[in-house]
Amino acid sequence: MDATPFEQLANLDRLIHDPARLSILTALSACQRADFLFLQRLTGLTKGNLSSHLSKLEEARYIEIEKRFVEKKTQTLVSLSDTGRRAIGSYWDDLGQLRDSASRWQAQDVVPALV
Amino acid sequence: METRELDRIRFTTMNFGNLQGLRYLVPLGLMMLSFASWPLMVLRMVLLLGAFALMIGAGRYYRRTFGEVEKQPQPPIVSELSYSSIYNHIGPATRLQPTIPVVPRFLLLGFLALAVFVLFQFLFWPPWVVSDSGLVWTGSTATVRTFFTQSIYFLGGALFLGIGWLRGDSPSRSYPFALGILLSGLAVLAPYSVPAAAHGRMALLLCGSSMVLAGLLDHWQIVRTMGHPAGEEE
Repeated sequence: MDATPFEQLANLDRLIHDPARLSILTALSACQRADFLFLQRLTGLTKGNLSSHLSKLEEARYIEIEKRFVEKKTQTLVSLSDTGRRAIGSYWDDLGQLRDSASRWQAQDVVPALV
Repeated sequence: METRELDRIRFTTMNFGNLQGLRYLVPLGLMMLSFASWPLMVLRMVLLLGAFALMIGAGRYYRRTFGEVEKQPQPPIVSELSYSSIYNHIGPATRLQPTIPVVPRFLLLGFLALAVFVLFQFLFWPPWVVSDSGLVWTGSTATVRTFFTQSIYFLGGALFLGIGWLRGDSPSRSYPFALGILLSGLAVLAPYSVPAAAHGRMALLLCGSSMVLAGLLDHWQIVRTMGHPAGEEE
């Protein structure tokens, strides 16, 4: 039997589903790599919050972080890894399936006695 | 999070380089305006110097204020898996789509624009008449001037249409497309329907103003999407 929309919703990748991380991954999927300041301006997050989200994504191996010196300052460059690219693609697929099954879903499929 | 907002994030990231209006289109527009103001030498110099200063300073401004993005490498003339809009349904609408590199894309568009222009010109307003002795050239200095004016409009129009095409934005909401169509339309119609616009200087003025306007709109798009100040810890 197919999973209900609620089960599909529960199975969505929680790491990506967070709005801030979704914004970060959406931006990274549209470029080769971006620096920390760009992501910060784009998401409106504080440095601490952005660092925290990036750490989580790096732990999951969704992104790769590289640091370099430019004009005596550290520049942090972030790029999407192959794993991350697959994960965000799969996330959108799951969301598409969820939308389809939610539009087909009827309450009596689950609780026939109440109808 | 609204999908429209994600779409804007994606669009701004993909086009971050060419949306830097203060760096490219505004200086180019100021240069055209300086050519249009040739009798006023002081104004011309001010516009030219302003354009160069802006071109140099704006790059640093964008880098320091909004950061840097490296574009995805474009494969040479082959099909690629591209996301035309990841929100066509609710997920990514991945599909195979032919990709032509930037320079050939502009050349192709310029060539098409020129072909249409020449076709219209020769079909409807040929600078010759057919007589018993064959084709007789009826062109004059005015004809050459008109041709020059139309060429300026056409180049401006082709530039904007090329920018719209390059960005892959929807034509219905893209101001480069609107300006491109407007200028291309003036190229064809100005000498016959809008005489006030059929002067070289007016063509430079309109093209230059369009570039300044488009550059400012580009800049506004970046500021609108990335207007959040770089937040600090509370």
